[in-house]
Amino acid sequence: MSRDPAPVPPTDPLTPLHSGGALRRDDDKSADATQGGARRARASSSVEELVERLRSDAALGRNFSRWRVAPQRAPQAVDWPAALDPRIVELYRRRGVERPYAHQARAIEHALAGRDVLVTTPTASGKTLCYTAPVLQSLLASRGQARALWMFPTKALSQDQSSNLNRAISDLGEPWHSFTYDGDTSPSIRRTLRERGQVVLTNPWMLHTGILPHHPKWADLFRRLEYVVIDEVHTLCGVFGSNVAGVLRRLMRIAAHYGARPRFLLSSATLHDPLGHARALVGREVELVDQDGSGSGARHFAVYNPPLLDDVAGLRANALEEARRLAQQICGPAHQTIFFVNRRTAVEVLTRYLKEAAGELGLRPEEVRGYRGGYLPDLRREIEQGLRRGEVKVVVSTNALELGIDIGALDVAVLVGYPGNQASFWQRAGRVGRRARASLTVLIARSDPVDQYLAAHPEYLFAAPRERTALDPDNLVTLSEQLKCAAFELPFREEDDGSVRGFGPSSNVPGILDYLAEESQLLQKRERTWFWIADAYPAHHVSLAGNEPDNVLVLDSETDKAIGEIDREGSLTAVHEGAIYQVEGRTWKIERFDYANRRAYAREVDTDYYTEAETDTDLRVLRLEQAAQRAGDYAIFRGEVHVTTQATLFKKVRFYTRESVGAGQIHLPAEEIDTEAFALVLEEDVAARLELDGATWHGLGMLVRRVAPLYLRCQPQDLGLSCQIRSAHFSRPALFLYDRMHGGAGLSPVVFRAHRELLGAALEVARACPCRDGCPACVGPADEVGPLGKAGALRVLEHLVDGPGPTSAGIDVFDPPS
Amino acid sequence: MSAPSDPLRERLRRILPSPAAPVERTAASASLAAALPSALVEECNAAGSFLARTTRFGATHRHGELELASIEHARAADLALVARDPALQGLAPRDGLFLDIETNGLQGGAGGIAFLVALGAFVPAPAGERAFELWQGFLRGPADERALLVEVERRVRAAPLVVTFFGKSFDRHRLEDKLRFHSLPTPFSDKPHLDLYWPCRRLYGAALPNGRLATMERALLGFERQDDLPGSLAPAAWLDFLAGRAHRLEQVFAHNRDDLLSLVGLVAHLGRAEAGELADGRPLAGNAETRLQALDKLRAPRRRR
Ligand SMILES: [Zn+2]
Repeated sequence: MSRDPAPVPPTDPLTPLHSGGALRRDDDKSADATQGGARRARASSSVEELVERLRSDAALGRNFSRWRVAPQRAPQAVDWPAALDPRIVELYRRRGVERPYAHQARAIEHALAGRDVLVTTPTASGKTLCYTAPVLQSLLASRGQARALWMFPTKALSQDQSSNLNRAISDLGEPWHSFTYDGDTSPSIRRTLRERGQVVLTNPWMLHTGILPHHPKWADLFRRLEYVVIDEVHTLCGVFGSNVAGVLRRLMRIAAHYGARPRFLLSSATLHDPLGHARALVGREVELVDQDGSGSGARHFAVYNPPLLDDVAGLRANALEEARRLAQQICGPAHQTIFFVNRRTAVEVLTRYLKEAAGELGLRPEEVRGYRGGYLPDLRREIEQGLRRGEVKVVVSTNALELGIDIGALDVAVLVGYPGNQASFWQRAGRVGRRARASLTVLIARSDPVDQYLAAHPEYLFAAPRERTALDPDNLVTLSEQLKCAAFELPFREEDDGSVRGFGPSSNVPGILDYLAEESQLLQKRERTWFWIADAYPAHHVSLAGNEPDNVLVLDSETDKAIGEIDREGSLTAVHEGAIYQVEGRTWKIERFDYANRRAYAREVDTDYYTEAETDTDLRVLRLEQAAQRAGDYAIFRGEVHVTTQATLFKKVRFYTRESVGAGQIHLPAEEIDTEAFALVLEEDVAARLELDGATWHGLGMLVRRVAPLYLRCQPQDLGLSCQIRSAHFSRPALFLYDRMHGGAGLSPVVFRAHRELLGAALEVARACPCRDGCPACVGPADEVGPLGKAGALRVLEHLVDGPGPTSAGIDVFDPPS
Repeated sequence: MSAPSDPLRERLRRILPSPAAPVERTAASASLAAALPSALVEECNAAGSFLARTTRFGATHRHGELELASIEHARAADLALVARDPALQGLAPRDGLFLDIETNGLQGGAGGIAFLVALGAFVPAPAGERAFELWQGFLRGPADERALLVEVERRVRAAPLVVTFFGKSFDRHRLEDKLRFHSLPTPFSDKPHLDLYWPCRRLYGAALPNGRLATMERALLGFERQDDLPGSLAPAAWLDFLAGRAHRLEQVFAHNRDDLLSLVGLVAHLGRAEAGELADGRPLAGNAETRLQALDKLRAPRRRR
């Protein structure tokens, strides 16, 4: 019933946790003699032995920066909550869950007491039970009258869950139904489903465009809605998450309109500030259940840093190549190994290699599989089943196997590169570890500041999460777009004090509604109520991911097939005419950029060079909202900015040698966005004392931007960078990090709060980097930051990090220090 | 209300996509703020109030080439046959409630608004004859919606039969959506419903360029509209009215009236489908060949698939 492996009754320690345990194959009857020999040699190796072998390996051992082991932990089982219907207890007992884990019992108790709950225990700790049991209870108590809405981030998950839930309902002997409502649901059965389903499983997009705008058709669901279940809420952040928070406000308004007040049952990976995240997402205080009561075997962790090939340039061996080397030690018939790579082609490359090497590993080629999005569903199901049954010994996957999909628990995970955030790291690591059996997770660091920071500070991974999530449903663009959709669904009423209730705390709501009425003419205000009057469907024009329709499609000029997509601002430097566009190792030359129609046409070419475009970014401060300073030294600000980006020219740079082999002009219009920014401003005499120059300032900015994902959940490319050696606004050196999303995506307030940690991490990385004058894993290559760039950046970072942080005392946003 | 020059307003102008070109509207001017259509009176109920206009047409009123009274000769059996709906057998066509709505242009969704609802029925007249009474309920704004729906629900519930053109696919669902929106009961479930669109298509579709009401009324009733405001402009006329420019509203009422009278004429026509002629002996208008072929098919026992 649960997507996670079913919890095992602790009274029976011999029951294999792995559902397919009995089907594991240890025979090697089809292997030839060589394979048989290798197979036998490796067949008995335990994870502990493997760890020992890796640590003591002459060639590999010294590349492991740190080993860490989390000892075996016994599960904490408790009694079922007394308030839980005995029929549900019986249902789980029949499924082998004699008693629940402590966290499951606590989550159920909270839910049955009418409280909103957030469960943040790890992957495979039985989270599904935490929200299934209360929903079943509400159905039993109301004799099928109650309704529940489950929202999942992906379609595959909701279909899995629907069949699990239907099985549970039929085991209870009740005639009720759950169903998946998504783009694939045929229109002819939608009506029946709407009228007859007790539990609707859907996704944010369908809720946004398919259900909420048509709520009268779903009146029965909303009137009796008792639970809203949302899985994987940590994925709801940034512009997308902020929009989903708006969708949830709309959902709650509609439920209230029909007289219901549903409770939220949320689940998530661990978060920096789970309660704050939940508050921003659902607008309520929730009960947090974060103490994992499920057991696990010993868990070994290690970070593997590929050896330096050139210590002046700081060049390290390629991470994927190192994964191949490690595979020779790790893979074998005795345990199941999963490789996580960050690119689709890497799946194919590594899978092919491992299949070829299968014999030496004591494996048959068919025991090695690749897995990624883009494979046909049948093939994916077959591989998932092979993993569950223990027949597939090695799988190479993208993040497609990170979330949800049931593949049972494996033994060894190798992460080729940090996946970009702690939640993903732990979800990948969570794929290994059966109860009472040891598991191993290895992270292979790339030549990237974040990966190198983790190689030096693996403890970061094990500490409480430090990435702050940007989740700001009151961001002006998001709020306005969601208010449009909400006003279509139900009119807004103005309170006596001029405020509007039911759509979050922002005082801007009435002003936005006025704007939508007076200037957009979508609404009309009459008798203190704003009504939707236009003949348009706002949800069809509001994308949950922000302004993606502006993306540029890169097409193969010969076949007209899309080979890539790039955002508006990035297109200036990546797909101008003459640019070399790289897709996973293949090179394409852009022949034509149809700027107006957002299409670039490319032809595949063999080149020995790539292109680098130069841009002039002009950042103008419009309004500052927040400030702090270390008096006489440096200050930080947050506010609104206008950014103009103009691509000027491009250089052709030879691969490997990086020598310049030509240049060209770029003729494209400037891109302009209004957005939000964080600014760090240095006093002039301090800058002079530190001998700050433009290249140093830029290298420092690049490094700070690239370590940002350690402390805020984002990709480095979500942040724009402008390093001004003399800012027109501040009349002194200023470094701006801005949201590269028109209207802002909520990152700048997070940078404002976390800037000390970012500077600290940047300093650590630059200090620890073995390169002499800069490299891609720290401030950038020496030919970009100049021969003194690394030393300069170190000097400035040391100065900034040393001493106390800035405070808001004595600084006014409207009066920058002069 | 925020002043047009406040910082929030300026910022919204910068960061929000500029509003899509609004539906065609007429520029404001004093002469356009004409009075509301005549004879509108306020109707009140527990849910609020709205405006309505009631118009009576004598039995001898001619709509195209037919008198409204010719509906007396329409046969329920013919209608049941052409509509493929045995439930219509025992119902007198003239007892029907004729229904047609005008909306703000949306094909559904919570933001759709039926701003004009026409309900027509034959009522006893003082002279002992029957007259056709057309009731047009109208929203001065979305706030009137609930009160109007309460009245519409009451009238539909009391009727033995509902008659529409394409209403099984559109009008009914728009009203039901809004009734559910306001948590009001819906009177349409199990209510006999004669939707004239499908019978007209079946009998004449092969001979006509399209199945629209305007096409059917011209071909079958010989009705030509005068100064008609196309139905597609009704939403803009209402939005104009909301913005203080009522000048096109009278035309919307007239268009909606003609729609409804055509429903009566089409029932009178289709109710004579088997006879092939009107009660006064005039042959039925429309292509007799396609009609006869369709009737043959309809009479044959339904084949199983
Ligand atoms: Zn370096």
